[in-house]
Amino acid sequence: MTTAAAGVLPATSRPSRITGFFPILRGLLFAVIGGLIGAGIAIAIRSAMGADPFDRTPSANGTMPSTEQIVTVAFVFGTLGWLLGVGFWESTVSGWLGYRTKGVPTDWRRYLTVSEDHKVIGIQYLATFIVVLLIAGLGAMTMRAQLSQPGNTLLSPDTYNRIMSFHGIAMVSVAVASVMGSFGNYFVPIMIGARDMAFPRLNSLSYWMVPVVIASLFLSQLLGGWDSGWTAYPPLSVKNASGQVMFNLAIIVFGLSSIFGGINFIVTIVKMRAPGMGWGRVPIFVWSVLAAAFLATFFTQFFAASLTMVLLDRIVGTGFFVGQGGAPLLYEHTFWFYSHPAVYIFVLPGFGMALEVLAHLSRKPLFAYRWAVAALIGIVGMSGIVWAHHMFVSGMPNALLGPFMVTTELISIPTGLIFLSALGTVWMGRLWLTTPMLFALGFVFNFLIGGVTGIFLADVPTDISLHDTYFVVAHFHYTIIGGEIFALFAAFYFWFPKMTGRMLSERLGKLNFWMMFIFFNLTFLPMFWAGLHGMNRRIATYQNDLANVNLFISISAWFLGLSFLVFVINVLRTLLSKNAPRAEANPWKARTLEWLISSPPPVENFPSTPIVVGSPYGYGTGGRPHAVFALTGAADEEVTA
Amino acid sequence: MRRHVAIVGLVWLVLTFAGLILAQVAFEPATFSDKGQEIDATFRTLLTMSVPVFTFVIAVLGYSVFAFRHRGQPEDDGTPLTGRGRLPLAWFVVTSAMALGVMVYPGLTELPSVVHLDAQPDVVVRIQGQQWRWSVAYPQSGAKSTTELVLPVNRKIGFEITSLDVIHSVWIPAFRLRVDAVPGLTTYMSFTPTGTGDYSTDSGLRLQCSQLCGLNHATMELPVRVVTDAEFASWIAANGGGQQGAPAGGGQPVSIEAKAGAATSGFATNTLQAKAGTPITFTFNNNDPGTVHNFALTANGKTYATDFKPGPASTTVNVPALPPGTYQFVCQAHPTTMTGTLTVK
Repeated sequence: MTTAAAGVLPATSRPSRITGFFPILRGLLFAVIGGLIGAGIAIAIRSAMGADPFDRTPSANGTMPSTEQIVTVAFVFGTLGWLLGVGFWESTVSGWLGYRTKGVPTDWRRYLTVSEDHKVIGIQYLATFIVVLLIAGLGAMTMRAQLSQPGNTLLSPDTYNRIMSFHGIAMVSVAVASVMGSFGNYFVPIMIGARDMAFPRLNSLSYWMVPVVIASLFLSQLLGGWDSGWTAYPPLSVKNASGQVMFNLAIIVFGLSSIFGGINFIVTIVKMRAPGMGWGRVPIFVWSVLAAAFLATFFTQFFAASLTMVLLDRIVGTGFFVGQGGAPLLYEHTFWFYSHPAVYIFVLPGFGMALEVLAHLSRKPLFAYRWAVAALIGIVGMSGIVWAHHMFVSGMPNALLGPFMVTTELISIPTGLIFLSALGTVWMGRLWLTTPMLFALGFVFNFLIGGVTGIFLADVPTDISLHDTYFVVAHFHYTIIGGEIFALFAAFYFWFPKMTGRMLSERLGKLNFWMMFIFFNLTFLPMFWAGLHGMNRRIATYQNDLANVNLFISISAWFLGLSFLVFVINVLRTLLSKNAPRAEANPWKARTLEWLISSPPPVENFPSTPIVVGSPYGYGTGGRPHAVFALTGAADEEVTA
Repeated sequence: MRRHVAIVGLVWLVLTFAGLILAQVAFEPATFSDKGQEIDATFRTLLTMSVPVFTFVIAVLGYSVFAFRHRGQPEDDGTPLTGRGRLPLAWFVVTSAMALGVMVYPGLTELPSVVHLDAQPDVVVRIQGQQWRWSVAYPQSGAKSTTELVLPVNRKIGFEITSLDVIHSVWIPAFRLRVDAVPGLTTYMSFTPTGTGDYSTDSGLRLQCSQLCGLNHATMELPVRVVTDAEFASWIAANGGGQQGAPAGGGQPVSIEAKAGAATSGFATNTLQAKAGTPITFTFNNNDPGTVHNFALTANGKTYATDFKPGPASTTVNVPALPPGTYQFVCQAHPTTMTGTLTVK
């Protein structure tokens, strides 16, 4: 299964000539050619059907169907052109069709090509989503500039709405893919003792769709952008500027990428664990990725379907959500049927990551490991029956309010077990307060505030008052930044030495943590107050009596932004400096499989198949190590290969 | 171990005590409705209940970081507590009981009265949202307004809420109440205002759109004023309510039309004639497909307006007998481009 996976050159291949920036430039060229072909096809079909291809008559909703039809078809062909041009011709298509294939480069240029090595793909995801995080963060800084005083004219209402919408979806994409795509790809195969993911080509396809998504979100601004937020509720999303079409297409592609990734993780984790790694010896991070992968695989299509219906309403006038018989509430139900489970796609790998770091850097067994795993599974099971708590004031029947309040509050039970695991793990530990440990501890604190404030939003009477206010904005930033992004940083500082073979500066790392932790809280805690005092979401201006609290929030937010600059400096300094301290194989003295191999790991990951003989968290027990390398059977456990 | 548990227990008790005191501090803005008071009380209940949970985690986490931290790399491993057996089971049982508790109280017990809809409110107000303004109508009296929402204090109010274009949301912060305005659907809200006041003294007294609705979402708001019965009656009368002297239809008929593109080209005619001394029934034929217009005449300091409806639609408004003179009329959705003059002789 893994021969093609590990980047071994096929026998018929010759050294590659496609290196450096050439694949990306060729991908862009092919994307343009594909786009032109698609536009030509759309124009030809419109002409053949007797319609003026460039008809400028607006539809009943005020949109421009002719333009949007051409854009849609051009997008499909442009995406295919990009994928073939960037390297899927060489990596997949030409070999299948019987032509000669070319190998891939092995130096730094491999990060710019279609690589099937999970470690390369992990780095590609990581670099991409850190850039997206920083760009969308700049959007947030701009929004806080506008909101620093009421009635500010820095941004027009349209510009504000567009930046707010972009910030929303870009950060949602970061939340979906940054932990799973980067650290999931890089470390899940290593932590389970596999040489690669189960479907390496599908893995590369998942990644190379991402640039299409990001480019489309930017290109949509040429078509007027979109002002309907990341939620894109119709009828607004059927009536606004044509940039909405690019948003829908981009997110449908992102959904496809997410589903491919989900399937890949499920198969990899279920089928490719090393001999001896029964389910009771799977590291908690791997469990959390598996849980999130199930959610991504089963729920993402509902978002894609609802966005497709919006798209069809716009370009062919289907009328799912507008006009006679159109049902706007239908969209809200299908949208949230994905988008509530999606928040667990964000945060479950965050849970896993935080628990992983807490256990290794407290030098303790992960407390109540089996209960934590049960909690992850419980959250997956319940995540599909809570969606309508986003709709308590949507006008849906009152009879639905009680049941959805009950299911939502039930989900606090498994979440409480995650807290049990975290607290039990640090209790009586030997807490090594390195940067990753600080971020993991920060995660627990922030997520506690996110969780407790969630109760006020799950309870219908208080939600009626707090819905769509800054209370909600504060709550979900506490869970997503305070939770997942803090876990992302814990993972980054924890695994950076393994990925690069270099140690980051602890001093800058701690400065990064303390700035981020303090100013994150100073930014988002006051938002609860602002929400209680009548500040609603997604607004470019607000009542005068909220001026002081907003100025305070804005200043805190800019310092929060600066903390990311410290992070960037720390990383670049370490990567670019020749004298950066080298990382040994196991700088944290941790037990899991990735620490048993060199930093950075060899292409094949392991010298021979590892045999798992003990718990990943057997600290202080004096028992067996987690795994050994032996060609002949030291494993006295059931072999699961 | 016992010493650690004792200290954490003590820290937890102290923090909880302090938290419970802090949770009594009043910080909510003033509320002006019966349900607002219930919702504030529920908020306070949840806040109080969450204090011991919050302080428990803070106590254990904070104490662990303080007592078990190491400056450098630890030389040995921590106590290998695996967390099997009774403790996680007890945790599971206790947290489940807490979750079930909060579901029942204040959850399910407080829910019915807050979402209860009054079948027979004293005052019915129809609220219509459109990009980016609100219009309110009082069907019991015929009064209408696009400039403010006026409600009598201590009367049962029933809102009937619709939208003409996209999803909006009716939110009045001082009442703590909110429900979406959805095209093709009527949504409802009922409550009783409990105090008089207006937007100029309390910014919570405003009807604010709280569902993203496009360009001017942030400023889609309407001032709200809660007044006494007497003030309410006179406001209703001044805003087309009661329509004393006006026939229930059947006045002299005058019709006016809006054709396609009227938003820029104006009404089909900008001059109308009527006889003095006789009530008038205006019929407004909106033949502009998909676009919302109305007809509003200003006379004697009052505004007589038809409902906002997207074309094609026909709406009427009755106006009492007028003295001779000229009167201005507009479409309130397009007050700069759709204007005209009525001459009464």
